[in-house]
Amino acid sequence: MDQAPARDDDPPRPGSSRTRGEVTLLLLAPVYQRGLALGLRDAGYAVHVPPDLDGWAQNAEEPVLLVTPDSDAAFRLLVGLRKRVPDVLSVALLEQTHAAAWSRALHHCTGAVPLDAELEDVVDAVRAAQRGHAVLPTTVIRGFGTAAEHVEQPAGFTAAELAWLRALAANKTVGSLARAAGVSEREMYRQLNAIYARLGARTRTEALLVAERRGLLREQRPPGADSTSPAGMIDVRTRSTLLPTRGGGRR
Amino acid sequence: MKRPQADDAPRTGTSTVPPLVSTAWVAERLDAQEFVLVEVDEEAGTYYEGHLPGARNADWLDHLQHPVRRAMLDEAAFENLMDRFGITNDTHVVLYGDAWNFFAASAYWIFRFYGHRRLSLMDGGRQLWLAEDRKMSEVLPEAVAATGYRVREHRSQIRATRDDMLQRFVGAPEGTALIDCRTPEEYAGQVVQEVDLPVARHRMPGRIPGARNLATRELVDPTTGRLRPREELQALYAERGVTDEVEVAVYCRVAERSSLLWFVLDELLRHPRVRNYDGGWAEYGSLIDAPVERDPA
Repeated sequence: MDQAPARDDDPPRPGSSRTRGEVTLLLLAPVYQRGLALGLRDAGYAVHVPPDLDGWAQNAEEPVLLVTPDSDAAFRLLVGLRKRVPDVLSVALLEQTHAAAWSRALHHCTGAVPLDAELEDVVDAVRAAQRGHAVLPTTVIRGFGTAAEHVEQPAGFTAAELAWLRALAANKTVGSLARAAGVSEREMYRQLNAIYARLGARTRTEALLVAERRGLLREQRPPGADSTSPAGMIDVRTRSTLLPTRGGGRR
Repeated sequence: MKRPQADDAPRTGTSTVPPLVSTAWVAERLDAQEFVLVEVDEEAGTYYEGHLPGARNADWLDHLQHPVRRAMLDEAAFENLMDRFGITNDTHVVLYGDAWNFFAASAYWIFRFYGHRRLSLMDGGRQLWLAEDRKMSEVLPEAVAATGYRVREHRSQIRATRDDMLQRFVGAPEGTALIDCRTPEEYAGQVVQEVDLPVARHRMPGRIPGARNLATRELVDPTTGRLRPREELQALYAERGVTDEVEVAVYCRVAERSSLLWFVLDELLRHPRVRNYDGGWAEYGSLIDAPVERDPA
């Protein structure tokens, strides 16, 4: 591309249609970000790229429309941002396009679109997210149905992962979990952080609060012990919560 | 505005190193191995996403708390941790972390409590180091031989117990100042964290009578994560009745935020008598018949 790169707070291009709103781009690769910014400006959006991401995230007050990768770092940032600005709208750019990747992204974001999609499809996803909608390929929706029929653990966690969460809730240390699993502490911390992100949490404390709320810390009952739970499935009935906030938001 | 506190001269009689050092100060000395870096984050797994070269990882929950009681780690566990980190009684330790250094400040207070003298906090912490695009590493430091670290004193004068609070600070009688550094909402008596819900009336929302509110994040420049200039910090405390003549107690919920308040007042502003109530509201709000103040609903 030989055009000038998009800069922070670039307005829509002259001659573009009416202003559709502002889109904030976060954590994207520079080359991709530049192309997407130009495309969004052509589509009538003002594009913002915060130079100081942490400072921006800590001070954001107005509802925003974001485009982010589908990385753990982006989802953690969204979790933190929602504590300040509950009405964040966002579109995740998917590296993987299987049903689980779509499902994980839509757990955190308003919409999603493959990273290698055509520019106009990305713009469509942004427009849909502005209205609180997600655009999904038919194959993905069919994939959700197929996956649901084969889910052994409705919460999407393996038995080992649930056992780790329960052990942490019982005051075990990460080091002791690593020794029991025969892995390094580094590997155990990484696996646990991935679990926390899937729970929409940033920290162990937040993750355990979410896990408790979702019933994940209760031991699985023997088949037939609870007639409301199919044999072999974890009871993940959601209890009503007393607070609208997720996790242990504080300070 | 000039920030005179970072890299300032050490506090005479307490340490031989500056209590607050800048990221540039650390970066200039990284290769000389003049100090041991210890990272203390809100979530200890953050360290494994990259850390300052050579830094050790202290998990605030697993390493710095007692495994059974509600308390900081005991003396033997502290000595063991120093052994594992290769820290001797004379090692200069530089602490840093994320979350505005709240958890690193908590570690600093614990190190001080167990009498470690050569101690610094890196201003701005992990956030500023990353923002300045300084060198990070995923290489883990090698295991080291035990150093034979021995705790030589307990500096109980920097700690307030629940009895101290009940006997001397409740109501902030003359000659004392009591600072609650939780958020204004927590100070007012609103429940903002699930774990504080009084579901079994096991812990009541509110504040200690006489406490003035100074939310810890007010000490920090939100754009850089650095502590505000000294004169601004002094003004924040002075507005809440803190003078050199009064004895001060600070508290939050579980003592990580109050540790930064203690650090600023004790180590930077050199107040002669400031105590950190490490039981915090988690303890005080659960005490039977302890006086509690709360804004009208």
